[in-house]
Amino acid sequence: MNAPERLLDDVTIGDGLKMDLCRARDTLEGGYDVEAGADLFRETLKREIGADPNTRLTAPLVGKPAFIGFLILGFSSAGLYYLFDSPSEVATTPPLTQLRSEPSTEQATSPNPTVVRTEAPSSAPLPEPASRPAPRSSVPSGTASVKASPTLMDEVEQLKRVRLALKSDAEDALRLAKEGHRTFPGGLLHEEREGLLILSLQKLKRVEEASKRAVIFQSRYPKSALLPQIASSLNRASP
Amino acid sequence: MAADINEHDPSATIDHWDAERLFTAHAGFVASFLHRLGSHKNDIDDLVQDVFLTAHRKGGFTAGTAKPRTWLAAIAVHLLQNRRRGLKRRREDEQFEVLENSASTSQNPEESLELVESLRRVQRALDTLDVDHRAAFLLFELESESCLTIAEYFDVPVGTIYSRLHKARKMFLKAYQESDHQAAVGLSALASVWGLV
Repeated sequence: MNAPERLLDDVTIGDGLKMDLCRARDTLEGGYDVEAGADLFRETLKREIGADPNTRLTAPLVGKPAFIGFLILGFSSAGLYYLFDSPSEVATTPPLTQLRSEPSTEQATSPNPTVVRTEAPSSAPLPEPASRPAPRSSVPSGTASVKASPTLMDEVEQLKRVRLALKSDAEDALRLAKEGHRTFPGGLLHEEREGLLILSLQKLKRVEEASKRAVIFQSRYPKSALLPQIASSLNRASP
Repeated sequence: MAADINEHDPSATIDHWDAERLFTAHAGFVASFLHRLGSHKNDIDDLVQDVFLTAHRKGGFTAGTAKPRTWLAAIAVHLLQNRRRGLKRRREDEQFEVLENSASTSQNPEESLELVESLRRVQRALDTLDVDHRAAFLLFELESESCLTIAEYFDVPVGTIYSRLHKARKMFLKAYQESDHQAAVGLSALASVWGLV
């Protein structure tokens, strides 16, 4: 079978489809909040690196070459230790942030810790399990591994804060509404929160953004009780 | 910083990327890719985290023949296939959320509506493909990745990728043409209600 031709290069394909494909190519969908995700990821990484070594073997993708490399480094470190060990050197465990990728159980429980380090190695034990986060039974799954699932009551309370903020500080209301969307994805109160978000955008004179969201809002919630309020607010704000 | 990285091919100048840097540069792409693969909105946050956690466990990305995005996409497909729960739970109305905090530079409401319609047409056609065909199609058509590289990262013969692309293209075109007529209604009508067009 021959290599296919790309649709964008195919002269038999109409301009409409090409335009749609170009738009799809140039647009990142899903509205993912990279900053919030990055914060969460850093947090997850910290937990991942500081997790109990007994759970590290569950990482399915630690390759054998890496494992062998760690073993070699471990034994090399042991050799260096016996050659150059000095009583003045303090046996401390290096910061865990020095780890570039996690070792497996075998590495962590081997006679010599297989952590890559620049200082002279030590025979200090790994941190006590009690000082670490509770071991996990499986690979962490994003938010689920970091915080407990929010409840409906949490969502109600959060929405109250958005409402209160909207009366006095639209900027804060906007921030809280967006935070609510992130904290309660698919939450039962998304409709009201989104409505308040649009109203806060209108208060902040961000009319175009509010209009875009309003169109989407109406398509999703055509019977929403907030629609008249949004519409009248938009009409007032429109030039 | 992320914007700069997204605008230029990072692999052209940087040889090694750790997971954190990859996240900053490509988390938006991974989320979008998962969305287009049919992952449920509620799963995307977790999947994005898992993709980059896996990238971290692999020691980050080292520049080679492929772009970081292709490598991350392969991880995403693998994780999504393991979950096997996104496709059935997709809701039609989620497609209207594409503009929320999107990377679109469009500011005009009219342009935004056209963008939504375009994306919806493409997504409807994509939804007729299974994950394997969709992934190959997205990487080939939208990310301009070569068949050889896709085959390498998905660990299949290049002939399989050819076959997937031929079939995906056929199904995509058929579905696209069917939904093309529907695109004239829907949001345009809504836009007129709001007096935006």
